[in-house]
Amino acid sequence: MKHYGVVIDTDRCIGCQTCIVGCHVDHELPDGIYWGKLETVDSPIVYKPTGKYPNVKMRSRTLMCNHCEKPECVKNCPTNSMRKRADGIVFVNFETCIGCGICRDTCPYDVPVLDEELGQSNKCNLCFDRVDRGDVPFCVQSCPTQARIFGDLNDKNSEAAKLVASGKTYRLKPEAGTGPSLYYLGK
Amino acid sequence: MDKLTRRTFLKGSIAAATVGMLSDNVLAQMYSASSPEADRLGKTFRTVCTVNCTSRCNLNCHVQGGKILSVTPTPLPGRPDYSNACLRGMSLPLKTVSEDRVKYPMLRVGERGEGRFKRISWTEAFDLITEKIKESQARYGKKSVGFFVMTGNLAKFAWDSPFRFARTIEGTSFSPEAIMSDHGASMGMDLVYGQKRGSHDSRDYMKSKTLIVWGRNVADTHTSEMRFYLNARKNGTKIIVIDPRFSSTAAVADQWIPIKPGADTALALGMMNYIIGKNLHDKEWLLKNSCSPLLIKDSDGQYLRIGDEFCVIDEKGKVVPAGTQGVTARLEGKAEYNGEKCTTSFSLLEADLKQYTLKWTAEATGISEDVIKDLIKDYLKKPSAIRMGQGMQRVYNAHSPFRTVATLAAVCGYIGVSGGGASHAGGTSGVNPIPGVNVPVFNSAPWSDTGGSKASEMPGIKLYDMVEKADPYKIDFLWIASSSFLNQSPDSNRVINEVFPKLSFIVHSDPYWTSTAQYADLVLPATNMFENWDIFDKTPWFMLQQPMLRPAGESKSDIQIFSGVAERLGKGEFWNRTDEEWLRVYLEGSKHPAMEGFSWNKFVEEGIFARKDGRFDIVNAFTDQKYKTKTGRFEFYSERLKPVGHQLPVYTPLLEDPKGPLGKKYPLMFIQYHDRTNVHTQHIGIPAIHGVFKEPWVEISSKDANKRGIKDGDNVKVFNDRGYCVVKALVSEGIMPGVIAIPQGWTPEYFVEGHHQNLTHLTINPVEMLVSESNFAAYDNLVEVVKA
Repeated sequence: MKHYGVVIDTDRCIGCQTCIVGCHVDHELPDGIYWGKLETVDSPIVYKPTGKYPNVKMRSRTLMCNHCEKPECVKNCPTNSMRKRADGIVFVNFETCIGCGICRDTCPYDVPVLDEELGQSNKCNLCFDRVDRGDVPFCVQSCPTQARIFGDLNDKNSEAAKLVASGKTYRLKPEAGTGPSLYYLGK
Repeated sequence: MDKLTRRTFLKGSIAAATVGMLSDNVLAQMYSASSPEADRLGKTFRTVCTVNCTSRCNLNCHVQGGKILSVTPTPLPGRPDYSNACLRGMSLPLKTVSEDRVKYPMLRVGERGEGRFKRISWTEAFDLITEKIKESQARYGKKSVGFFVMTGNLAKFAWDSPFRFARTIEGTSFSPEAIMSDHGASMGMDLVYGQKRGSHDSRDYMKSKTLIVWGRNVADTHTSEMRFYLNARKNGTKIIVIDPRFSSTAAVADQWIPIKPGADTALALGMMNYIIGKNLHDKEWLLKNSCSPLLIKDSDGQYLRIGDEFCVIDEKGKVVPAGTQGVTARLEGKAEYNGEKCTTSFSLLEADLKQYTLKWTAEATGISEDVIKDLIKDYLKKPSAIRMGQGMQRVYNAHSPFRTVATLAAVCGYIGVSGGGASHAGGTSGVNPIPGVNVPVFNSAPWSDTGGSKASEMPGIKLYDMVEKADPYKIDFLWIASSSFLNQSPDSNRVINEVFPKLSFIVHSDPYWTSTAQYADLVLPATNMFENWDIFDKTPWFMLQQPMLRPAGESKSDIQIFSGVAERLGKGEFWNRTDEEWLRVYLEGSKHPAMEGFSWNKFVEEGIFARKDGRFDIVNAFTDQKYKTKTGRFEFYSERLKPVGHQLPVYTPLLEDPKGPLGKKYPLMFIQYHDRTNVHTQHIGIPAIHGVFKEPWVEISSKDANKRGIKDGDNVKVFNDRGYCVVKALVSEGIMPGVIAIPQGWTPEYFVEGHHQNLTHLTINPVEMLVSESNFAAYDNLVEVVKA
């Protein structure tokens, strides 16, 4: 069985937000709704460097749905609209979603966003249509610095699995116990 | 229903199924199948992005139902690693179909700047322009009709149409590079290399021990190249960024060295003095490839010549022509020839550099002596590279920084060397010369033919004086194409209050409602790169733009706009082709072997053509150590500049120097920078980008902010005697104290008040005019900042 995941190398991330804006355009998302988000690590303001002049840092880290192994959103969705495919991709069934916001409230990562106009929850689906065609997700393809590596984490020969196996990667909030499929690389 | 977009809604055909009964996999696959990329009725077009960052990415545009739904990167023939598209290129299609477009010819009905216009027909517009051109011609002569272009669209025919039209009617055209603040780079390169560009392939940095990215934010301004820098870094290359602000590039580098604006020349001079003083310079390279051994006459500072030949001192101390067989020239020394005392140019350089001690350099640059010494140590690890950036040349005496930094690379023997180099261009351009072929690659003759008429070609930097003071002659009618001139040119208050009022008529042709349009008398709707035929020559490829969307409103291509006026001025015979015909004549008429196998239909289908003589491996400039300078060598000594004291690379303080009298009133140095939101003005306000970048800000150091009681998010007023703007503050540890920075390109409506170009100035520098053309010193401004 496949288990899709993404490794994001923050040593290569320049914080340009091509992944975030490009995804927004490609998915024709409503104004103001983005499936990704950029944070400047340890900084309250995006792009505000941390540290003391001239010894500063500005580490860009992009966030998106973690496509958890045990997703809280799927577990708690009252209408069974938050679904998980066998390959690990978590997606919203818009046919039944009532936009109650429980997925957003229970997600340890604050990922689902509410599309007010449609009254539905909205979040990254790892471009499952592209994945089903054998392509990589849009954010992975479009990253100008090739900071994102997509692959089957169950395939030991995939680059993503190798990076995870190297022990150099980390996941966000592992204590939440949901088993994210998103891994980060870099200091 | 149109609120429901493709990924967020299940299509009707699938909705009919009882989804509750389906497994998650089947359900998801049905969503998949409903995605327009799978069932696309439309087509994928390849195009090239011709806004002026330095990338010119080849883009795949997925078109359906009259809209570009998505833009994806596309691999290039021969360079599968060069597949790129950025957030700006992906978002521009949204502006293409937005209300920001000029859709019809619009005639001003209110005052200039008031923004009141009425729609007129193209016939009325063409007639009016014709009448106004004739009026100005009658009053002030043919040259009084001027055409100004910036880099809003660099596609061949869009860019060239205004220049060609100026030639057709014997008007005036303006060079844009200096007024857009990039000409110092060309001048510096030209002085030492004998050519304005000399690209060093970014892939080659894998071989560099150290890469100094000097005054350049590659990540945001040449995004497509950034991956190669990161590859090099991963491979062990130490990347050092020299910049007054901690840029996106500095954030992923090994080291950031903050420097005072305008002090790059000082740093390079100090480094050279130290290196030569410690005898660590590459004597062999300098002797062989640079002007170093050539003799300069003490009397007049000109090169000594015997006949046509430059001269050296041979091993016996005798003056001989440099080309003498078997001669071993001396790097240093003095000699006499026919009673004329002479010194080698290297000795002159060495002696002159002595004033730039480490202590002096540290003071001038704001960089500690220890950091400078470490930088030198890193740079001396052979080979090491420098990527120069225009950031360092946006100051008074703009020809100096590139010239001096390149000379530093020469002193270390790094020019034309793999893993070395000092240039501002990354490389994809390369061809294998085909011996004996002397025909042009493109059939440019028909486009060049305007019946023998010529334009008066003037420096763009003279435009203000020409309009205001008829210096050297009057410009009375101005056509601004592919440029939001007002937003991107120096001293907006001067433009609005002194330049524009002295123009009888202003035409502005552009796809978008720019801030310049508000001051035009007639605004014409131009098509953009998704709507018209055009090409871009990005050797070893050329790339096609073709209409994949219907033109907004009644937009016309730049070619067709000028054709309409040409016809009325009796010049229709030179402007009588459709856009497609112009392209085909230009391409299909070529007799060059590089075009072997070219077929128009295939080109339209594929959108790109790889030249038959194209090279896709790493191509670096000057590997043959041939230079197009007068001496045929790398030339740090310019005899032409002796009369103004710039014969050797020289440091001069900023025009607006914080240590000078103006610094008491305005203590902060104001610079601009390119951020990731926009190239220039084209991408401002696109909702997809706007959702993550709301407005410009001023970056101010915590030291300067604390002194003024300024906190993050405060509105602050930035001002000097020329004007002001009010903008939000970002209090940062990532900018040198004494410097503030505002991202360029943002238009007035995104400022709380005013605009950053109110703070800048156009000051013509006679030394730069002697070199070539004075550069807009965009980063040479003093200001004060207070809480608004």
